[in-house]
Amino acid sequence: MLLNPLVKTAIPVTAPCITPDWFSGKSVEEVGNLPVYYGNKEKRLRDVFDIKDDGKDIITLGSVPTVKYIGKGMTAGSIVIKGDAGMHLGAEMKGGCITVEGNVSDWAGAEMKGGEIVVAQNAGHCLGGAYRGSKSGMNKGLIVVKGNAGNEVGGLMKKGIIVVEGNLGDAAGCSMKGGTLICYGHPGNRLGALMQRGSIVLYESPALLPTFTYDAEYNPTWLRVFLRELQKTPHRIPITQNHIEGTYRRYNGDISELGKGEIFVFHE
Amino acid sequence: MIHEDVVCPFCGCLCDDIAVTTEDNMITDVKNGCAISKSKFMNHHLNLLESALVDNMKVSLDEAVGRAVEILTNADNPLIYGLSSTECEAQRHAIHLAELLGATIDQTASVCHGPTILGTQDAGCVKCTLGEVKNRADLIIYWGCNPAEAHIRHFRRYSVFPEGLFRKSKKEREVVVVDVRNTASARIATTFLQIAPGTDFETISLMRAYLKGKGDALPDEFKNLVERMKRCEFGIMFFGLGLTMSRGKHLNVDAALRLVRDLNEYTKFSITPMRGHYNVAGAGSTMAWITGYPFAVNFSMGYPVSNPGEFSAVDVLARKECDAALIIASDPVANFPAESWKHLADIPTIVMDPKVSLTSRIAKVSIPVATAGIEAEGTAYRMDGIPLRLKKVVDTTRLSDAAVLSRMIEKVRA
Repeated sequence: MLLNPLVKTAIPVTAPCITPDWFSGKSVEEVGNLPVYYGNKEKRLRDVFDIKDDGKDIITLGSVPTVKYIGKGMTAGSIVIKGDAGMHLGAEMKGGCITVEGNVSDWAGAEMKGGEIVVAQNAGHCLGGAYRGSKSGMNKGLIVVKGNAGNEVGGLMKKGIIVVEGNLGDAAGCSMKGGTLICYGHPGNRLGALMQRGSIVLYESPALLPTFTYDAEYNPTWLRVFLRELQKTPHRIPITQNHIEGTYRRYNGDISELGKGEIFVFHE
Repeated sequence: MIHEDVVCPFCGCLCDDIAVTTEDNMITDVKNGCAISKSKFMNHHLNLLESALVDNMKVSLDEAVGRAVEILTNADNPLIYGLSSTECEAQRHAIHLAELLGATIDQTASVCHGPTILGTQDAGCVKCTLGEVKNRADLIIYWGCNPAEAHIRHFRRYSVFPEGLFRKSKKEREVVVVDVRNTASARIATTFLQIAPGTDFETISLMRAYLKGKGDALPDEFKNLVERMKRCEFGIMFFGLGLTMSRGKHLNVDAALRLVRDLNEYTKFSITPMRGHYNVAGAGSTMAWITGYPFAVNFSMGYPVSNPGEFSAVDVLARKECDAALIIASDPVANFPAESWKHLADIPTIVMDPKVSLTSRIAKVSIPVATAGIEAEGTAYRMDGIPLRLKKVVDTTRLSDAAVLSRMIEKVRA
C-alpha cells in the first residue's frame, strides 16, 4: 500500500491506524475509510493521504514529519517511510519492522515490546523511552539509529537493544532497569543517571557521573557473543573484530540507586 | 474602610494577613505586605486594558467575546495557555472550554516548576504544610532559590523567623542556603554552600550515595550537611528554579525528591517547591482533579491526553502546531523563547488580561478582565497546596476571568 500526504501542514495528524494489522485484508477504499485526527477534527485517512495499492504487503509512506503514532502497537509486517516520521513512531509495537529513510521525531519506539525500528538519519528525544509516569520504557525489540539521538534515550528501559551510531543527547539510559544501549559517537551529559540495572556500551570516552565507580578492564564474554549476534542483523552496524575481541573498562552505578547498572567503555 | 486578612495575589506564599484600606473604591493603604505586594495593590489601576479590542479597534465586550469564540471554534488546533495568575474557578472554566474546543491547554508551570511535577511523578514527594515548617522545623535548606528577593515574606512568616509551637525563634533553627552565587538569602543563612553551576544533580546524587555509605567523592562540607540532615528533628528543603530550570531539569528535582525520601529512614524530612505565581499550584491542582493531569493536556481526540514536551505551550508554538491561541492571565511574549512567541504573532491570538502586556500588543483580540484577588474573589492554592480564599476589595465594571470564560462556553455551545 502506498500513502502520500496530500497536504503539507504543521498541524499534527494523529494516525494510529497506519499499521499492517489495521491494513491487513482491506481494500484501498476500506483503508481510506479508517479514522484519523487532523488537529482536533476527525477525518478519514483518504482526506489526508493519497492511497494506492501497489500489490505489496509493505506500507510505504512519503515524508510525514507531523503524522503521529505510525505503527503504534503493530504486531507484524513492515512499514517504510521515504522521508521523515512524526512523534510516537512504533510506540508500544510488539513485532514487525519500521524503516525510516529520514529523521524521526520524539518518543520513537516508546514502550515498545518487540520488533525493529531502523532510522537512517537522526532520532528525537526519549527514543525507546517511557511516557511520563510510566514504570518502564522499551521492553524487548531493536532500535538502530544511523545518526544522532536526542535526550533521555532509553529512559526507564527494561529490555531490548538500542544502537545509536552518532551522538547521544543528555541523560541517555536514565533510570534504566535493563536492556542494552550501544553508542558509537559522543555519549552526552549525565549518561546513566539514576540507572538501576542494564548495560551501556561506548566507543568514545565519556565524562561519567561521580556516582559511577571503576571496576576492571576486561573482555566481557556476554558482550562478545552479543556483538557477534548483532553483526548478523542486516542493519550494517559498524561492529569490528577489534570491538569483539578488545578490552572494555567497566564502571558500575548509579550508586545513589541500586547500582547494578554497568557502563563499558571500549579501550583497545 | 479597612479589609482585614486579605490574601495577597502575587507569589506562591499567599500571605493572608494583609490589611487593605479603601476610600471611594480606591486602595489608599496596604499594611503587612512586602514591597511587591504593596505595589501590586496600590498600582492595580495603572496600565489597564481600557477597552475590549479587535484588531486594535475598540469594540464592546460581547463583540470581542464573539470574535474570540469564532476564532477558537474555526481553529484546527487551538492552544489555551496561562492560568497561574487567576483563580481556580476561572481555571475550571478554561479547562471546560478546552474540552469543548478539542484544544491543548497548558499552564505556566511548564516553563517554571513543570520539572517538579515530572520529578514527583517519577519519585513521589514527601510534603508538609508551611504551618508545620513554622511550628516544627529545626533544619531549613533553601536549594537553588532566593526567597529574600523573590518570596520576600517567606523567611518571616513560614520558616526562619516566626514563633512556632516548638521553635520559638531563629536561634532554634539552622538555615542552610545552597546556591551557585552568594545571594541576599545566603546572608541570612547560618551556613552557605556554594556549588558550581550545573552540578546540582551530581551533588545531590553523591549526597544520596553518601547516605548509603558509598559517596566518598562528596566534598566534606556536604558530608557535614548530610550528617546534620540525618540528625535534625524536622527538616525541610525548599527548592526553586535553580533546580528546575538548570540543565537536567526534572532529573535534578527527581534526585532531590529521592534524597528527602531516603532521609525519612533517619528522621522526619519534607520538601516543598518555591512556586512563583500565586496560583500556579492551583492551576496544577485544578487541572489534575478535572483531567487527571497537571499540565500540558490535549483534548483533540475528545479525551484528555498529557505529554509534556508534546503538548507544552513552548513546544507547540515552536513547532508551529497551533493555529489560534487564548492566553489567560499570562504574558508569554515577555518570557517565552523568541521562536515560540513569534508564532503567537503569526496566528490569531486572544488575550484576557487586566493590564496591557507585550502579549496584548500582538493580540488580535484583547479582553479586559477584573484583577483576581483585588477586583474579583476566588480560590488560590499556596505553594504547599493549601487553598485560600481571595477577597474582592474594590468594585469594577469589568467581568472576572471566570465570567468571561463562562460567556465563551455559552457561545461555543450555542
